[in-house]
Amino acid sequence: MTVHIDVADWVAIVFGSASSLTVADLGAMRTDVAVAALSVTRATVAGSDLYPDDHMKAAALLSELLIRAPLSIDVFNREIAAVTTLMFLDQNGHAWRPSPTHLPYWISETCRGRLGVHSLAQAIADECVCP
Amino acid sequence: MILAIVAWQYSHATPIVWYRGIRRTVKTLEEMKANIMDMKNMTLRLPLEQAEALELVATVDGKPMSEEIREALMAHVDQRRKDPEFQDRLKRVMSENASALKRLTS
Repeated sequence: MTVHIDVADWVAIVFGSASSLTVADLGAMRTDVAVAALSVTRATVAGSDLYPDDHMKAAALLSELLIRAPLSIDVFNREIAAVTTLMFLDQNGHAWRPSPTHLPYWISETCRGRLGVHSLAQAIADECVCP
Repeated sequence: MILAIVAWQYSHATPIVWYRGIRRTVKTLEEMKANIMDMKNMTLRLPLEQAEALELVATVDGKPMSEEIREALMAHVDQRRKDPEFQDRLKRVMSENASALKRLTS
């Protein structure tokens, strides 16, 4: 059963002790947008999960967080979106180790609308150490 | 060249900036704090049992129900922020992917 990231987790990631972010850095933090983006992993169609596996869910989560941008400062939004996705996969037993060159490329392409959820999910799966 | 003209609004002692022909009032710290405290109205639907429990707790504490909800929400977020297991996992995930994440912010 999938363990989801809720908005309290997301706020904890944004202001977490591992983060260098402070309130002054953030600009506007739109928690309602974050709630909408985080809910994508719970999305269902006719009683079945819209995204059937954890890689698809992670890809959809990353994509929603990047496109909806709950943090107004782009560079922080990208970092927090990546960390949130890493945490989602980690708590569901998948160790995603994105290459330092691939991750910025995928994120940039997703922001430009050139990389869909299916392609992103495949890219994540390729670099995931799964149980 | 960027040209900004800064003037002082005598009546309210608030600095004003004209930048690229647009007049902007610089917010004071007090104004920024007031913005953070801005409220948003919303409707909350609760099952009858939860609503009764909320009313009981609010009566016992002598607080409005809305205040009880706000405090519960903040306690929930704060608990997660202080959860050592969550924070340890966050630190581990960030350190394991430090080089990839650094590329995002550089």
